[in-house]
Amino acid sequence: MTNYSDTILQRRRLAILILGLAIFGVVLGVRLFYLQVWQHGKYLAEAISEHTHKYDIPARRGELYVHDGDGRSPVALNQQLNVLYADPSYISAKARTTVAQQLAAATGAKAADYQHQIETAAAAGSQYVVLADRLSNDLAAKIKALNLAGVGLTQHDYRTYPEGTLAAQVLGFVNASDQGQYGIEQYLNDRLAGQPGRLAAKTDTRGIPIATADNVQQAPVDGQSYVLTIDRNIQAMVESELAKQVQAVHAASGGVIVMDPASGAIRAMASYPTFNPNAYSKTTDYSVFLNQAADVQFEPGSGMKVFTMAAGLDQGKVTPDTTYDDPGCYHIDDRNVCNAEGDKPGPNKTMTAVLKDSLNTGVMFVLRKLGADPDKFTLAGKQLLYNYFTQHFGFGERTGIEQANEVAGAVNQASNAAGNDVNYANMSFGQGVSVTMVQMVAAMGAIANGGKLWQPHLVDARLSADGTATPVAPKLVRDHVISQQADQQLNQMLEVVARHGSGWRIYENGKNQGYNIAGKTGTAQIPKPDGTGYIEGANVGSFTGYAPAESPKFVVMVRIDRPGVDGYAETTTVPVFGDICSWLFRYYGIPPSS
Amino acid sequence: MSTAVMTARRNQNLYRQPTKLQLGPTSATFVVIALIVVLALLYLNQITKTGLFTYKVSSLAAQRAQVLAQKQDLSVEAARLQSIQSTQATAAAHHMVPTDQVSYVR
Repeated sequence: MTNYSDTILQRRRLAILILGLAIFGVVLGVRLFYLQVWQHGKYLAEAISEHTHKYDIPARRGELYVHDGDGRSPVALNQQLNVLYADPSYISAKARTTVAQQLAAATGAKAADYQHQIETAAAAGSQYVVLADRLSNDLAAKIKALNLAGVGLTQHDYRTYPEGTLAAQVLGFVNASDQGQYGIEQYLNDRLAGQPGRLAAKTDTRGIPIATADNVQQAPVDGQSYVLTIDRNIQAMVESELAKQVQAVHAASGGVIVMDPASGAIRAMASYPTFNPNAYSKTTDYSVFLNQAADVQFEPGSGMKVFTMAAGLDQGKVTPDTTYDDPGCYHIDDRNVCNAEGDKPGPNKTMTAVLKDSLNTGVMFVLRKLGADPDKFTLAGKQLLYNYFTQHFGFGERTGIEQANEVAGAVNQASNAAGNDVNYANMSFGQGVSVTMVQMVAAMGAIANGGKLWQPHLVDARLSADGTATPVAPKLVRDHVISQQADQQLNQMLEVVARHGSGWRIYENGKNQGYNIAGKTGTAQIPKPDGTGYIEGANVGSFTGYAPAESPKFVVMVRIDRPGVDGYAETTTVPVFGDICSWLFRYYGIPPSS
Repeated sequence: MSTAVMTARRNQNLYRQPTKLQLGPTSATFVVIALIVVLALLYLNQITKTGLFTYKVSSLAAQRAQVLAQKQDLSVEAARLQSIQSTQATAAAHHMVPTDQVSYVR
C-alpha cells in the first residue's frame, strides 16, 4: 500500500506527462496544419513536379511525292537516324586515340578527324561534340556494342530525299532545327511540320510514364503530305539536258521549266549547278540553293518582244503584215538605240520579220504605235505597254508559285523618272526590265492556250493518311489577256520564228520534223550589280516556246547564264530546247502535225 | 411428391434449437483486422497489376515505335532502290537504246 505523498507524486508526474503530451500534440497539430493546409499548394506542386513529367510528342512531317507517269514516287520522306556525340570530359587524353580508332573502324570515317573533333572540344572545355550524324540504326548498334566511355548516340528524325539531287531547288531541305529551308520545304513548312503533341504523365522512379487517369495527353497532328505536279521522268531528263548544255558551253548556270499550258502545272523545274539536299551542309556556295526559275530575276532580252508585239496586235495597232521602214537605230533623247546585230536598216519590214529577225527597232515602232502619235514615244503608249506587261501578263509581281524565295522582278512605271523614253524603248525589247523564268513561262502559256493566264503551281494534291489524293484546283489569274485574233496571229508569227528565225536549230539535223513549234529567243546583257551599266561580254540567253503550236501540250523555257562561248541564245539554248521537245513528243506520245 | 419422401419428412425432428453466433471482443477485433488485411491485399494486388500493365503498355509502345522506324527505313530504302539514279545505274538500263524513230498509226 502506497502512502499519500507517493500518490500525489504519481499524479503530478502523470499530469506533467499528460501536459507534455498535450503540448507535443498541439505543436504537432499546428505543424501539420501549417504543412498540410497552409502550405498545401506549395507541397502539392512540389510533389506533382517530382512525379509528373511533361513530354513533347513529335509530329510526323508530311511527305512529298511527284508523278511517275501514271503513278507517284516519293521525293521527301522521314527516317529515324542517329547522332554520334562525345563528351570529352569522360575520355582521358590517353584514350582519345583508341576511341577515335575504334569509331573509325566502325563507321569507315577517318580516325584523325574524330580525334581532332574530340581534342578541339576538350581544349574548348566543351562537354558535347557531334562526331557524325545520319548514322543508320545498324551502325548505331555496332557503335553501342563497343561500349565506349564518353561516347553516346541519340535518335533524331531526319528528312531524307531518296532521289538525291532530283528537283533539289524545288524541294529545298530541312535543317538541323527541323525547319524547312528554301523551296517547297520552306514555303509549306507550317503545313508540312504539323503540330507536336504533349503528354503530362506521372512517372515511376525511372521516369517511365505510368498510365493513370490523371495523365493529360494531347495527340500530335501529323504534317500534311502533298503530291507535286512534277513528273520525275521529265524532271530527270531536263536536269540531264541542262547539265550537259551548261558544261558544253562553259556557262555559269542555267535553268529549265516545263509547264502544262492548260493548267499552269509545272512538270519540271531544273537548276544547274545543283546540290544534294541529303548533304546540304556540305555545300559551300549557298547560291546553288536558289531556284533559278523563281528565285533569280534577269533581263530577258528579245524574249520580251513577244509581249510588246502582243500589246500591239491586241490593240489593233499592228498586224503581222504591218510594215515599217527600219532605220537601224532610233535616236532617242541623246542616245542611239539600235538593232542587236548591226543596224540592219531596210524598208518595208513586216511585224513577222520583226520577231523572226529580232529587230529592236520593230518593237520600238510598236511602242510608238501604242501611243496616240506614231512618230514619238508618248506617256499613253508607255502606260499601255506597262499595263500589258504587268496587268495582262503578270510581270513585276510574284506569281505565287509555292517557292519560298520567289522574287517579283521589276517593271519601271511609265509615269516616273525611270519611265523615260530611252528606258521604255529598251524595255520594249527586254532590257531594263527584270523578270523570272516562271513569269515568262506563265505569260507564254497564256499565248499558247488562247489567252488564259494560269498561276504556275507545284502542288497537285493533298495526300491523306490512307493515301487518298485530294486535288488542288489550278487558279486562273486572268482570262482573255489578249484577244483570240491577236493570239492566233502571234501564234503564227512565233511558228515562223521557230522554223525560219532564231529558233531554226530546233529542227536541225532532221529533229522534230513534222511538228509545229512556236517560240522566241532572247539574249540580254547582264547589268552590273552596282547599276552602272552592263558587264562586258556577259550575256544571258533564253528560249521560251511551246508545242505542238496548234494544240500546245507543254511550254518550255531554257535559260543559260554567262556562256563561255560566242553566240546568242540561238546557239546556247535552242539546241537543248529542241532536244527537250523531241523527248517530250515521244514521252507524251504526240504524233507529228504533218 | 413421392411417398418415400413424405415418410422421411414425417420422421424428422421439426424443432431446431436456434444457434446464437456470438463473438467476443477479441474475436471481433481479429475478424475486423483480418478483413482489413484481406481488402488491403486485394487492393495491393490490383495496384500491382495496373502497374505491370503500364510497363507492358510502355514496352509495346516502344516496340511499335521500333517497328514504325523499321518500316520507315524500308520505305526509304525501297524509294532509293527505285530512284531514277539507281534505275539508270542498273545493268538493264545500260542495255537500253533511245527511241529515235517512232512511227504513229493514225
